[in-house]
Amino acid sequence: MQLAETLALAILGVTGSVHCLGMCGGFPIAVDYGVKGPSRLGAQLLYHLGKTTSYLFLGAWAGWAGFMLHRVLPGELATTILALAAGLLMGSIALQILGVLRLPVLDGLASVFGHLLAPLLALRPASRGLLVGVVNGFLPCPLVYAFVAKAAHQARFIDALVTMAILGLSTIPALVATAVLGRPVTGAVRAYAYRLLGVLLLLFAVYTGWRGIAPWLGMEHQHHVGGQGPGAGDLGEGNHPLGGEPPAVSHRHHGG
Amino acid sequence: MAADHCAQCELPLPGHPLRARVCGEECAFCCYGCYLVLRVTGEKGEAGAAQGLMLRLGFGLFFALNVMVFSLARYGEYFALPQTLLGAEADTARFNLLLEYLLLGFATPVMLLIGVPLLRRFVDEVRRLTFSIDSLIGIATFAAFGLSVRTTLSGGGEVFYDTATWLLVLITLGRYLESRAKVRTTGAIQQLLDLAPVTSRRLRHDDTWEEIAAEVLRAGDTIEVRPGEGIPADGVCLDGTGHVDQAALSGEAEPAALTPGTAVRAGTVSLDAAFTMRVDAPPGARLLDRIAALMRAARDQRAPTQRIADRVAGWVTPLVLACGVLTFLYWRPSIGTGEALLHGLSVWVIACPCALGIATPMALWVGLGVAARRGLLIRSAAVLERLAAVDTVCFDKTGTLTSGEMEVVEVVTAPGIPAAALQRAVALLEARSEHPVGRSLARWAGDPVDESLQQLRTLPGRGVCGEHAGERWLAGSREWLEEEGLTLPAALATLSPGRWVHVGWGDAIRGAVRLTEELQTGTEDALQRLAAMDLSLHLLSGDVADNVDRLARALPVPVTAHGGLLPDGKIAALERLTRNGHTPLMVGDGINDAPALAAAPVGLAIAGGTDLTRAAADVVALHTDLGLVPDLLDLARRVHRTLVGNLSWAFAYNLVGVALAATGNLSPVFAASAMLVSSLLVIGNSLRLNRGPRAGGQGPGPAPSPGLLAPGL
Repeated sequence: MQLAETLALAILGVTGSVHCLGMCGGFPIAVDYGVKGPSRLGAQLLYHLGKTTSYLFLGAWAGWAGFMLHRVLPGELATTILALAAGLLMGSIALQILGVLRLPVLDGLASVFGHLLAPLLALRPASRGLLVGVVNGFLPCPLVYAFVAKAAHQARFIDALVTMAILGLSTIPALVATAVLGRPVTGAVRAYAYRLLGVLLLLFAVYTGWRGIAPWLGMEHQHHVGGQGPGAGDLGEGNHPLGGEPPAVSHRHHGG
Repeated sequence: MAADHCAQCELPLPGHPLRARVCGEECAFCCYGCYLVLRVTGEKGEAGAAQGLMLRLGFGLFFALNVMVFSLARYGEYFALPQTLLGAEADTARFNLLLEYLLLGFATPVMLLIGVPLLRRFVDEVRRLTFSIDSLIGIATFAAFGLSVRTTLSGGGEVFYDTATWLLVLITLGRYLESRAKVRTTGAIQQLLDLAPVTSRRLRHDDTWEEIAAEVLRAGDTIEVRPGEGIPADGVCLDGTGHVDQAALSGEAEPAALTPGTAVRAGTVSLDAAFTMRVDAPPGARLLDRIAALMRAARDQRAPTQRIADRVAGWVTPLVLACGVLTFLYWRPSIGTGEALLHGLSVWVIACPCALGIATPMALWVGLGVAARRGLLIRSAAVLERLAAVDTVCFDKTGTLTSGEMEVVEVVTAPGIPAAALQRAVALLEARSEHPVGRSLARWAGDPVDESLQQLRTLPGRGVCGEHAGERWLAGSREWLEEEGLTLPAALATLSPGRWVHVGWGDAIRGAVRLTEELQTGTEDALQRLAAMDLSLHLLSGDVADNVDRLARALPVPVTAHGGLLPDGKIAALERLTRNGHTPLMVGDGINDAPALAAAPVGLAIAGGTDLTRAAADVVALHTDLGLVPDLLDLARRVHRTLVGNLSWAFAYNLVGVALAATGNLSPVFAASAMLVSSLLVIGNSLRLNRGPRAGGQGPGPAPSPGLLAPGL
């Protein structure tokens, strides 16, 4: 993954997290309630460890799904499909954030999470951080879906993990600030941040989708900003060309 | 807590319950899920062991998430090593081994945290030779884990850490959620007893009143009840008139008339009557107490549902165990103990495909989601399994089948009296009526056009009367009007059967109107659909038998009517049905239905019911449309079919796999691909439930999320 893309994701995460205090801000506050001194920081770190682990789990699956698509389809086609799908998903989430589109809400999930979270919050402070974080990571959230879409697009284990780790890390400042300071951001700022997130996400969605179509228009050289496509990365040289051939592997399947 | 009931859900215990110490007390549980719930919720105030269990589940999940992340890395070389690090083939193998050790590190805590209880249960079940699906999964996960550890320690290869840990997490999480939702009938029983006040005013020997606790009342005491107060004991009214709200016992909104000599019952409420009564049955011997006792008895007889999966596992598990042991014994002479052990373990591993772990929860959870979208909240997945067996539906009348309102369907007048005159008289008499019949009449008659009557009076149980232009005007029962000296014209002597209100002024009865109860919207359609589903229908009502019979005859399908039933009568009717081999579903709305809802194999509370009703019911409907009842039963039957389909597939695959593994012919490729395909089949089959039946009229909504189930497992 390129530096530019990493930065873009980090900006999305930070912007998003300012708004997200509305929904998830209560958790970091609840997690270290009744804790004093350094163990308060420990509770916060455990909370973020749990949350990020859940993100990694979601991202790893999404990336794997993208990877499997690469295995069954010719490289360029898979890249295009994944880029378009990710772009569309992120775009529709952005449009929903901007108030243009209404997406169906997954109800029924709420009661399951309610069942899970209520007893967790009653646990001892030292241990509830991690578990609340794990469940929190699975709460329905458009920002998380956008990152998951990106992870699917990347179709590589490491890239998918890095993407989700960025999400986990970039939400730390705002959430920790909330926990420490109480309520550092006003509603107006949150609303502004949410709109900004919508705009940025829309741009990112268009860019991601464009990278899927560009090679078919023979324009990839003009639009080289985004790096060399999925599979391209700072981790290795000699990576797959745009569209990434499926990694040459023995077809080892693994049950599960 | 009685020793023969589960400490969490209070259902009767199975033959060999799970025993554990909670809060320093020896407690028995019907299942592991209940144990989990009580440990977590029952003692959340305490530190220590209580919270430990929630932590186990939570930390187990945390580690299992990590296991899955790193297992994914190994799926089909998803983790492509960067070229710079990838020196040679040997390095890939070394890296894979590194991943395996990582997996081992993450999987071990899961096995210790949430696997050990299942393993303990397995050992327990082996000892008494009864098997549940839990122990099959328990043994298979440990076999898978053991096999994987051996592979890792001997240099790497095919490992199943993900399968082992995720089956454990799913099964434990499912049990936990299920048990939290189990019905606690005790709460409903207590709420029922709370209907009667806990204090009372008793007449002392010196003719003064004393305020006492109701429980010290004795038979023969005289007590006083004021308007608006609840009645603390059963007895007979000595002095005073007025109305009593009996809805809690009869379900009828119509207040009952109270006069000296009338029997009164605890749990009913005086509306406007200040009266004294003689106590015949003090607290402990009241009808209310007998009903509570019946509810307890019904709860005790209701055996915990044996889940379909457990019934099948009962014979599959020993078969699989035997196969594993035989395989080991068969191969040992030829290939040595170590290798033979591998063969034996792989039989156990293959015996528990992922599909088996998700076959039941998947179908049930999708079913619960579909029901919720239609406005039916089902208390637990076990209720959904029980609903599939329902072959009889019992309805309460007022508030459930009928709206409780009446409508005028027939008017007969004496010769020379226009109907409009009768209507005007009714409008005058009933303009300010509070009585349900009076209100319905007033609605039919419209606003009174001229001056109102003077000396308007309501006589409990008889009717209303007043004076107008020097004449007496009356509306009420024929008997009462005749007692008052009005003559009955020949035209009114024979009327069609039904509920008639006679109206008269001066010296004669001038006409009569017939009222019938309004059916809830959609009732007839719903009953026809139920009859088409081969269900037998019953009407259990607290209203007088005549009214109930009449209503039943007017319905479009055959319905057996049982009238004049107090709550204990409803329970008795349900028990008779159960004894005759039926599984009734009770549908009701009122407080008086709560005992029957709790006692029935399945109780459904219609919208608008009281807290008590909802507490007693297994299913709560969010609106009054009776079409929900056939929808619910249809859904339950489809879920059942899906469940059976899922399990048959999972077990069939299971047995083929066992056969191949036992003969040493199971190739890893077959195992892996069959596992994936069978899991997808189970998921796909379950999701088909979302495509609802057409009959309901309410189209299926968006697909519910399959919850926390990880796809592909």
